[in-house]
Amino acid sequence: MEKREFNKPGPLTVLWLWIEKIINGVTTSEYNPFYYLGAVSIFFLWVILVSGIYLFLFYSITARGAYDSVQYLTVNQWYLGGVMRSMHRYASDGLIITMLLHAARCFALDRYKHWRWVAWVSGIVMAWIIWIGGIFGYWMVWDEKAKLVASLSARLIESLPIFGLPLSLNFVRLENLTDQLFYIVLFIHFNSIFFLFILILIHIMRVTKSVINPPKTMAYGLLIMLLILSLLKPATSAPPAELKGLTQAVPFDWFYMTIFPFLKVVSERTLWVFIVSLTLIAGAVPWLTRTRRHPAAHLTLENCTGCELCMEDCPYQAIQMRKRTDGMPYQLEAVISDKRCASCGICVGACDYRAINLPDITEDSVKAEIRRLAGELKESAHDKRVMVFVCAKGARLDGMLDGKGGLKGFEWARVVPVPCIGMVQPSMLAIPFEKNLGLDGVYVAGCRHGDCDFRRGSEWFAARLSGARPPVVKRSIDRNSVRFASLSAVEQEEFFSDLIEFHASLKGRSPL
Amino acid sequence: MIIILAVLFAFVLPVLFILWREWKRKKSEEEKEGVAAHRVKEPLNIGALVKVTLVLCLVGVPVFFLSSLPYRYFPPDSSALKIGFKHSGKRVVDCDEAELIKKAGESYRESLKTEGRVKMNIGALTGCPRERYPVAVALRIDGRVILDREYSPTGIKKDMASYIYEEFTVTPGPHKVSIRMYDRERTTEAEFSLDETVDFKPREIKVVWFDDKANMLVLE
Repeated sequence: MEKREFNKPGPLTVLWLWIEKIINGVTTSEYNPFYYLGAVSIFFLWVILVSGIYLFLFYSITARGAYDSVQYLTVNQWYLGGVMRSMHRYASDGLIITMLLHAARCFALDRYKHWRWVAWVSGIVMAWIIWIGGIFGYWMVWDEKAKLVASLSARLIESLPIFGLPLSLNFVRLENLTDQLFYIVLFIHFNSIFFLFILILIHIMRVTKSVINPPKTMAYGLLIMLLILSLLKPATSAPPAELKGLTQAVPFDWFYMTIFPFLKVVSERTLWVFIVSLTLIAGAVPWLTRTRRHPAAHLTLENCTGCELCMEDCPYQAIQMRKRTDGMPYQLEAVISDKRCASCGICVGACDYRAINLPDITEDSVKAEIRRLAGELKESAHDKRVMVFVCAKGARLDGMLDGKGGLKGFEWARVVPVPCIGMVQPSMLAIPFEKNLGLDGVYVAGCRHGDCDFRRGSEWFAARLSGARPPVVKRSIDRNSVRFASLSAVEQEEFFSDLIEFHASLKGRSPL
Repeated sequence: MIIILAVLFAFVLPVLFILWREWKRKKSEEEKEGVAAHRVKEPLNIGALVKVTLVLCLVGVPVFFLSSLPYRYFPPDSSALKIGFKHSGKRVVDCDEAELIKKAGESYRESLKTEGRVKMNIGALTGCPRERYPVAVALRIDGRVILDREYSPTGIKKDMASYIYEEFTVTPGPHKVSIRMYDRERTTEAEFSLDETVDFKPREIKVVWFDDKANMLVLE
């Protein structure tokens, strides 16, 4: 089996991580909104749902009453109805921003291919539903802006050969404009959010313990931001729709209406070709940019006790449990789905019985490497000796590794890179402290808090270390001799300063 | 209102029920795993709240400016002429379905009287072709041909009405509008026509539609 190469992050990844690093400097990684873009988007959906239900209670579903009912909320009931309307609009706009950032982030950080394709494709479908639902929402106000948006979107809809009746006929004369149309529009607008909630389930179905809520502090921050916007610039209507007049300049919501100005220069069908092509290309991106996949984890059934820990820890639901098939005295056995496997090794870290292995980085090979490097350190270094476990997606040590596990300029340290820090099994962590090796400390560098490339590796490792999650790290290991750092790929400087500081802290201590 | 409320609750209640069930399941699982004991309830950190709100306000900036930036689609002070109505073209084959049914009824009665039994001939009744001609509309403004198009009848058998919708931007001022509409095989003579000099005011929309009761084209 070919040994795994840990690729350098591309310039786009580095740029994105630098932006996140700057934000971390303000909010700390615990509250960095970039790490919660999906959860923030869902939070916006909840705001849209709650405010939408309130608006609906006062909304008149008639051609002649719709505008007045919205005006009543905006003007007469500005303190609640007006605020609700503004929050409804601004949460919808915010949703577009966070949704686009979420997609851009997944693309920049290369988190959309292979086992992640379901989330990527369902995300694109969700973007469509959000866009359609938003546009129909603007119809409902039935002001001059609604009239323009309705007539332009009607032109787009009726240009499709599947629609025989021109929707635009509704807007020719007041007599043609029926209440039924408003019922249909409300139905589409209202149902879009329910479709979204169903699609969210599909979006996260291959994700274990998905983050669907932002931290409480961030949720309050989002509400405050929406309230500030609502009070600074309350959402208002344009003048009421007048079918006998051409729409003049109207306030446009560019988050939802960006495509309409294109109708001035291209035909409806050309615009459709553009939109559909863009959607198909975006949907095909995981396959168009596909890279070689690492071999999936392999199960040694005779070692499996059916303890379910690997299933619990797998971040992509690639492991299922089924009834025992080999007659061993255990109830269950693990089954690995190769298609879903990210080859991160978290399951290796979760298994106490050497039942799961990565074909290209086996548990035995990692342990042998730890022993070799620890033995080497014991022979050569006289200072406090440190074994470093570093996540391939965390702090980059490019140019600092000598290719044999040594760290240039740090003769007291040796480095073991792993695909994910979640792969570090408690028994691996114990090796450097074995009596015959007797190293002084173990330094573990995982991904940034809340931004593990394999979702939960850092978190599971920290929990195993603290004793909160099995398999736990031996209690006999002095926790002061182990340091766990959360660092992103652009935090090389932080890595070295922390490692030096850790090394210095060991100096004041007696040997284990 | 009742229907909408029923639809609303038909969706909201099941969603709330599923959420509640999931929450309960999660809670009992955590209790079983002993996770709850290790979880510290997230405190509200005021300092972090201020900082995170400031960062989130960066998202608010584009929302503030781009959620209602004025846009003008139509040129200022232009006018428009819309043609919008539905109209059924004449049948391609002059086949009177009612007359056929009447004749078939009579023949059934006759055969019942003479032979004591009825010979059904469904094919004779359903064989009546129902296809309609497309409706063609030609529009000239100040003598210039602006539109000359046929609108196919709708329906799988092309037996339903044609829907006509067109929209043209017109410069304000007086214009001679001439419309011809054909609802059968096109000849030199149009079935319906309208010739009018219209004074378009700035921003005004004039509409041409078909009045079924008066059976004529109307410009208003």
